[in-house]
Amino acid sequence: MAFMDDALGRVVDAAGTVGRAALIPWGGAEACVDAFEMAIRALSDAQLTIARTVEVEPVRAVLASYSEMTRDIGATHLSRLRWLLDV
Amino acid sequence: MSSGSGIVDRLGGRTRIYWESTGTGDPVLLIHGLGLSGGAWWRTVDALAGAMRVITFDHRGIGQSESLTYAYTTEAMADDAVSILDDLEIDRVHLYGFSLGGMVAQQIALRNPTRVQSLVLGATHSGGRHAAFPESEVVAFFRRRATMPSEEAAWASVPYNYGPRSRAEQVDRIAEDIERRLANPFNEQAYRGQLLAASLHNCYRRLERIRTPTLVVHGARDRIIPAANAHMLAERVPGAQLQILEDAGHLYPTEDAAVDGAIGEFFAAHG
Repeated sequence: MAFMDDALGRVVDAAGTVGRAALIPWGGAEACVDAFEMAIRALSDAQLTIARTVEVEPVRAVLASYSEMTRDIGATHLSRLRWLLDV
Repeated sequence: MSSGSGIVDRLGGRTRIYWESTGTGDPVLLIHGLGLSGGAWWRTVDALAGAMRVITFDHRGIGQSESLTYAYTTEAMADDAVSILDDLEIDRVHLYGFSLGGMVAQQIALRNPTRVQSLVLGATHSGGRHAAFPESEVVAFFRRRATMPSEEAAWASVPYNYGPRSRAEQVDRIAEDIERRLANPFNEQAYRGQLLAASLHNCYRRLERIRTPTLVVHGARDRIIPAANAHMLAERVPGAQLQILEDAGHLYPTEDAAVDGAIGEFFAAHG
């Protein structure tokens, strides 16, 4: 289910190659993207832990929603990174 | 047979995921494909619910689920599915993902490996530039489909969704599918979002990390996601079994009535 023109595909491939090369000093693209995914999860989990310590509504609910938004927005960035860098 | 339904609120009510549960036993979560609601699993629910607790749901923005966000990715959709398991207090589950749902199932198995008992990947692909792409005519149709009236789109999809033998011999079953599909509201924006999620899906290089018992099922005559993708998945996922259905197209659960039973046996063997 790919919906990308050949010309765009070549541009994306070139950008991915540049991106992978740029991340080599930091352990490579795969390691960097995995670390980014873990960081999103850690931040989201920390936000949820903080929310659970607050007993006042709607403050608790708002804090919990921040946790899920972090994860959702993070997932969007992650998806695009994995696609662009092919990792 | 026990049954229930509910809604999980996510993102402070910005995303609401509707789920249904039927039967008792080991839980299995069914994840459906592009533009379809959880109700599209009706044949499979009937086949599995005699021995299992079968959970279906509507992806964000589809059917009775709602979404005010535009974060359509297979990762976020995987998190939606896991939020249902959290809400139902289910630690481990059998997963069966079909088409786009198979991509979401890959993400769940990779992001939450301890939650997955076994995995069935139906008519799906690994994503990225390594996937075997459909013919340009098929791609053009699915771009166009989003703008077509629902009933016209459903019938126009038939040559792409079903194999030639089913189109000749199983017209009643195809008509049943379409009747069920039209009973659920179709959200064009969500459809486009799901299309983007499918296009940006990429698990190819990480599939070798999956340690869950896996069965890959695919119709040999699939025009939407060519069967070469099933071979690729089965090669990449360690120890995966492969079942190719020779006469079936993309919507093989309609075309091959025996396949749900075989999938039920796979779940039972890994219970």
